Amino acid sequence: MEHELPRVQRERLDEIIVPAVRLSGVEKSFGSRPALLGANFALEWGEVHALLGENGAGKSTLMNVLAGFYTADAGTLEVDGHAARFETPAAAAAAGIGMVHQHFKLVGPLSVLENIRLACARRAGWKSKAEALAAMQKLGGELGFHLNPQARVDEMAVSDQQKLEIMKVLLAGARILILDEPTAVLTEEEARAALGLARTLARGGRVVVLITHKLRDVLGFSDRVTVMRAGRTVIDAAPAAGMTAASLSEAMVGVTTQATVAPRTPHKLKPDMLCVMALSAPASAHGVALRDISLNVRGGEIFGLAGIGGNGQAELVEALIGIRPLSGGNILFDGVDAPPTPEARREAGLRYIPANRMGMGLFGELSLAVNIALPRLLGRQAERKWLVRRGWMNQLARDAIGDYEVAGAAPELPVRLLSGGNAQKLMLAREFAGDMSVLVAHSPTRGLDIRAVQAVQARLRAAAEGGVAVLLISEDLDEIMELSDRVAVMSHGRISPAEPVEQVDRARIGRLMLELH
Amino acid sequence: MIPSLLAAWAATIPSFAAPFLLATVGLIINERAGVMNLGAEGIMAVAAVTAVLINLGGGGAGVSLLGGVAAGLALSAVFAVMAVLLRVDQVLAGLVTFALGIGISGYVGDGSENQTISGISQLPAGAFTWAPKPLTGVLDQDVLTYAAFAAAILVWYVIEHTALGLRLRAVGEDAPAADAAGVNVAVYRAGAVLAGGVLCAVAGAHLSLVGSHLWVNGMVAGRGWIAVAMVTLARWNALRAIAAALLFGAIQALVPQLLSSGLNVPVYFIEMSPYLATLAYLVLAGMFAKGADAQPVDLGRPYLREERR
Amino acid sequence: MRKPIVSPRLAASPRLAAFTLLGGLGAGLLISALFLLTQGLGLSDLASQFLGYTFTDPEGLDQTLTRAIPLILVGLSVAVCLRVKFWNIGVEGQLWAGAMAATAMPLYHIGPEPLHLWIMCVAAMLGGGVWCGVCALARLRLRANEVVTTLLMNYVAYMLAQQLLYGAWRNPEDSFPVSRSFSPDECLALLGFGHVHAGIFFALGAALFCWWLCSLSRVGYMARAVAANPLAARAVGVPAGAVVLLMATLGGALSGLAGFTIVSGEEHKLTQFIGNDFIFPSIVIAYLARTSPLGVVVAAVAVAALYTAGDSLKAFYQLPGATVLTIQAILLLCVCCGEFLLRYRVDWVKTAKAAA
Repeated sequence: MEHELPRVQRERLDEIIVPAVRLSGVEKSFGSRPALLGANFALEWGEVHALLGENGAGKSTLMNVLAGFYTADAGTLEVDGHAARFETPAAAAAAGIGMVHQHFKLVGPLSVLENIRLACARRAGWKSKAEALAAMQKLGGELGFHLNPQARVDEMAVSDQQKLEIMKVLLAGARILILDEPTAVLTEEEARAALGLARTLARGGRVVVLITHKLRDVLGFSDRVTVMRAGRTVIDAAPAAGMTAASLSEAMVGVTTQATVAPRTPHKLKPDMLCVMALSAPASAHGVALRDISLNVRGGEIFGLAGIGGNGQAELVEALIGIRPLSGGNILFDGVDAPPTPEARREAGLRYIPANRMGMGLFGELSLAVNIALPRLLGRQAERKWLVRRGWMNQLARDAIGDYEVAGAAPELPVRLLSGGNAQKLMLAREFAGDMSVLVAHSPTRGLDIRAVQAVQARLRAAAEGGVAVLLISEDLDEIMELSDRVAVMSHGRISPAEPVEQVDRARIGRLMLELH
Repeated sequence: MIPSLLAAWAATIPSFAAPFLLATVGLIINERAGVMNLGAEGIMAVAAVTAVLINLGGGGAGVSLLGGVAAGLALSAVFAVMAVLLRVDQVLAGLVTFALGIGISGYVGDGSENQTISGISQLPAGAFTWAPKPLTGVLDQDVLTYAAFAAAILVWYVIEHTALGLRLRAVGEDAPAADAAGVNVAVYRAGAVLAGGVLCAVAGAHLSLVGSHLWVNGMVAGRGWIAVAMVTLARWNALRAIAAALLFGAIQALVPQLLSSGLNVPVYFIEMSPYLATLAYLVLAGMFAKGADAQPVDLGRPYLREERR
Repeated sequence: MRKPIVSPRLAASPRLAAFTLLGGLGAGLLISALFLLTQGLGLSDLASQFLGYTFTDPEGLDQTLTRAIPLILVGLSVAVCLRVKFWNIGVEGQLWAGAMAATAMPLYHIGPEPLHLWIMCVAAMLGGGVWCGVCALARLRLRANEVVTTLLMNYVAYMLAQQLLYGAWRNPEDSFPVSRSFSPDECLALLGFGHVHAGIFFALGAALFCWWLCSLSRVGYMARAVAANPLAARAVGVPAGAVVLLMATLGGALSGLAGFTIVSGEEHKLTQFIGNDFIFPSIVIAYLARTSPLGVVVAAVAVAALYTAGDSLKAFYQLPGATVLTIQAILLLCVCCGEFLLRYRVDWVKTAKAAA
């Protein structure tokens, strides 16, 4: 059976098993923002332990404390029964704790071998490059990884980079491995392989922590589960065998979410507002080339583009906005060639919600007022050009805060102080202003809590009902199925033919995500 | 006549090139660790003036050199505190270092301008009679000039082929990743600043002990700034810096040759040529760059572990 | 045992910002004062030199105000460029370029006589603007680091000026390396108070223009966006490249204008040394003013006063000329270090080991 633990043979019933790790009452704040409010966590040797929670629940923060990347403000830590406190990642590594982060800590321009030597040479005691190479190849053989030691890390595939990260922590002597969202960037097949590896490593006398928000990973591969919510532990190391998807998600969010899907009202569709024909764009440094992409979105419909992240979605969004040069093809807005500059496309009615809202959407250091007002200052139809008054901007901000229910906000506040959900609402407030005719929404609900997700999805539906052509690009297949009228799949820079959502079969979509090349 | 002119010119090139080389290699150490140090001009100035003052005060060449290095090291330490510890904007910290160096050296050297010192002399005359005739001039340099070229090779080797150099490069390319791998970013950056500062100080001492054998306010004459540009020219590689330094040394060495030859040349245009050459290089490099930038990715970005990236 | 943990400050109040600026300035002034005291100045001497002479004595005030004119302009130049994160280390080169362009107009008799002054003014702005603009273009198109390019352009301009002064523009009458003197039409009028000339209106006018540009016009907000997040700025439709080019060229033009005020208002000809010692003061002024155009005026007058005091210190106490530069360096050092408290917070946490 998949969930059986190799229990240490108990000689006597009252023998106490010393946990591999025990964290108690951990508190951590970043400035005035609390992240952990008394979290508990316990690990036993030989298990795969899932740490579950929504974004912002504190799971990554807690594990970063364990692995020495953050220092806790309060609480205790025991490793193998001995009290410990790690000031640096190196100290934690010395205690046998290694973490593979969601955003890999690899030095891009250096080679695979150089990265391994950098991280492990001192811990492993290697005296020469040859020793390091030998150790790497031996481990590679055991795990079934075959990486080219001279390859430049930033030129490798993401799954290979992850293998490198795992090798790094193992060669540094880690017996407690923490994997943060390991399957986020992998295909289904690669994900299964990675999770299987985690189990093998655990059974071999180590312990593996899986930080994840994917319920299927939890139920399929882990032995025990801890659930965190809002900085606290709500389920402490319960056996996975006794959990269901419903009980887990209830623990994660606190209320049972009814999967309310608003009945899709048949609405009158306007002719093609967005038309993309045979679009091609060359690949940039670590990206994907767009190959011959064609799609059209009618006014009033939501076109759902499914697909795993990193298959060209960001490039497509950039091409539509106008900041990525094309090598072929055409973009039409309402039957007319799209103008060349982002400014002019905005004037023509294009709006966008980028996946990386602080990187490509909002200006974190600037105030809410400036963020809201900025688009209205651009182009020939700018509302104000030569006399921009603070009072006018502040009023716009107050209106936006009220209409979109942005919490914790004031016009003069810098945007980076807003939480994820509220920042996204501000983004919507900014983008939905003015005459919007085409909306490109890329992962609009990623990283948001349930309430914010529902608010954003409601706005998208409302926009479509108002006649806007909505292109929804998302990795969340459930979201795509719920919201879209027609669905297509993006993979390796190409798009499958669109189909009406009623005719779509989930299994087929999954295959399409892998097979298209 | 031409061959003897060329030979005379060639003989002066290495000592013109040495200060450039030392300063550039010092800055390369800084920048490979991710720190942009614009204070080189100031460091060279304090080292130059200190070496002269010690020499005038009766110290020998070695002691003067050490004194110059100590002065340069002290100023580098100020820069390190600002840029690495306090995470002041590196351009700003560099400019402050530059001004402090120029100001302090001008202040301290005020009464000692234009006084000749013994400095460092050439190696004994008979040392190079075994070499073929045209080369004797080129090889007949002083110890410090030889040391400059040796230092460049040594630095190249350490950076590219040792574990220490690997950690330094990691800090400059991706400080958070280096930190995660257990490298103390602040220590390596500060260390790079100080090590680079030593080389810049030697460059400054070279100017006064070998080059002019005196101190004049402003004698560094922008060489520290040119070194900043030369780091780009050398694509952050200490070996290529040798070629770049020889180029600049050659042009600078040409000016006095032309002046003494009696030809009527527009002196200022010739003096302008190294700066124009660097600008031309920057333009050409920008036009024909081969995609992969040699510039360390984390150059100029201060690092603090608790920051949520 | 307590140890310090440094973390970035999420939000800083304006009070803290003012406090760190004034605190840094105060510390810098204190250190400089101590330094001067060790050189043999008495406390009362210090007060009378720095506060009395520079502002209340007519001669001192004259020097201060006259010096302030080009300092305001170069300070604005750096400040305007900093608003788009463009480091302008080349104000001297741009000043020379402006001065040469201005001088060329009367020397080659360009335009009708009565308009000479205005033609010189425009030429100076064009000269300086181009001198900085090409560096901005090099950054935009060729990814050339503007710190290096603006710096190198200083030397090119300086050498060019020297070449002209020793060559084609050398004064035929006495063979000194200066240009011929300008006629009254080509000079900025004196205002009746010492050497202070009409250039002060240009300087103050430029400050008002920059204030309007940065705080009231949309260009100012576009510049803020570009400085805060260039990618997001481009995506939302801000013409980022054009904004950087505009601000950099404006910066160059302001420095060129400074050159014009010097040759037309002070020297009434082009001489060899007009461009010396402007780079570091321009950075100090722009930084102390936190790139606010109106703040630049105040900071420039303060720095000008520093130079005036420095001159009399040199005359009466034989302090070397490098003193003023050193004091400026100390001031900027202290203000920079004060900024650390503004951007980061230091918390002292106990490092007691967790109990078993």
